[in-house]
Amino acid sequence: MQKILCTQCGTAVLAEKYSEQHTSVQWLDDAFEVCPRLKQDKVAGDALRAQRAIGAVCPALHATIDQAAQEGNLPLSLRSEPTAGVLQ
Amino acid sequence: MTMTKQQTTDDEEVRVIDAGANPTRFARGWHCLGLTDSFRDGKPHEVFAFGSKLVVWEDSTGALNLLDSFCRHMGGDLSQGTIKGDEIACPFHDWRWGGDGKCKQIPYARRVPMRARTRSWPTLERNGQLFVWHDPEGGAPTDDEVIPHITNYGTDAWTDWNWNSVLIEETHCRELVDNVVDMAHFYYVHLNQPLHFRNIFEGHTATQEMSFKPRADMAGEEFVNFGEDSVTQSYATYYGPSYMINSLVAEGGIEVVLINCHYPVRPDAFVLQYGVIVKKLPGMSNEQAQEMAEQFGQGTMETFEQDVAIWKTKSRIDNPLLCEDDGPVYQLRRWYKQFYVDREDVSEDMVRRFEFDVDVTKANEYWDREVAENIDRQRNASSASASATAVAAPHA
Repeated sequence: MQKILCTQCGTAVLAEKYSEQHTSVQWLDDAFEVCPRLKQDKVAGDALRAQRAIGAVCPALHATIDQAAQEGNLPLSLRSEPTAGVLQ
Repeated sequence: MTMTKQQTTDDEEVRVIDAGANPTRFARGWHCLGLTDSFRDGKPHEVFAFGSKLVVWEDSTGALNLLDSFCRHMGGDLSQGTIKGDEIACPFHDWRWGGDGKCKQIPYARRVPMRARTRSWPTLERNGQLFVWHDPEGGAPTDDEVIPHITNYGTDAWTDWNWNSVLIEETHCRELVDNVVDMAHFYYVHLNQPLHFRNIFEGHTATQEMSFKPRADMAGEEFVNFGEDSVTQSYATYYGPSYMINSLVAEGGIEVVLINCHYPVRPDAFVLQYGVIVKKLPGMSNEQAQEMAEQFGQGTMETFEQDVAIWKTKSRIDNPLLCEDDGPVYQLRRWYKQFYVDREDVSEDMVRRFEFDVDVTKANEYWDREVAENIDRQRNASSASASATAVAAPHA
């Protein structure tokens, strides 16, 4: 997995792609604290989380990762074992 | 000359299954034992769980109490006793135990001895269901470890639960939890074709977000089916190790909330429970709506039977060999492990958010082709048998 900084809020995550459609994101901190979008969703959607809203991801982060892949800054990889959520 | 087995090169090395062993400890967390109403008949109920036997009973305030079932006096089985007032009375010598675990009275004795206390289990009533908290370290749930309210439950617009319970033996419950990430088994085992598949693990929750359509080549077969060509959105989240809330919304307007939960009986056995509530469709009577819930309950039972058929003969496997089109099995198990270690050993990587979007493009290209070929074959077979009948008829 490779470190990526969200272009919108600067949050660092580890990201990986096996293909254009596939994306893995390993968060390194409490996502609902560091990502303004998820934080906002959590506050607004606590009641909904029981039903579905918990499945939402941050579109800005995913756009960042897709763009990095398109620009060749995040090369496609083969399936890997899980990465610990702590930067070495 | 005898044949000797050829040495393989590194490239040809045989993959060996590491079957591991079922953990002997049971998961920390809230476990659903069933519908509260099923325990409110004035009788004590036995529950085989966590390698032991428990007893559930309702006291005069309407609260459900949960104790170890074996009386600390001489080992009598409280679940075979009777409810007397707020206490459960042992059938052996009539010792009376309160919901707090304390022996309240011994009618034939002058006084209750010191330390006459048995294990009382923390309970929670929510969504019409009874939960028990299990923690090998004896700790309490944190503020985050909550079972959410299902907002639709208990409203006029939705039915009551249609509930089922089944004992699964010679299987560890990890097999059931693995389904959260197992994209391809939905096609092969459950005859539904995933069109989109995402997992998110965070804290004590593990989510599967999926849309699917039924396999068109399986029309007429018995399986959970929201209507041909109809796409269903499914959002399923485990809250803790054993309680999953699954919201299903079909294109035709059908909405279902499915509970999939379990509690361990022994390291190699668990009780699987599942229940559905259904949103009443316009113009539907309560009876018709409840009937629809029963049909979905029945369909869900068939779905789990499909899983059980696989579990019965499969091997436990700690080192699955995955392809890039599979879901994140290792990350799911990393998440799941948090419930099997002491709190102080829960590491950040078990609980930090992890997202995984499975690429279903290649799978769907292949599946669409296979389904079309199967339908062609079925058509040819039925027209061939029709012409065979026509030829045979004059001689009949």
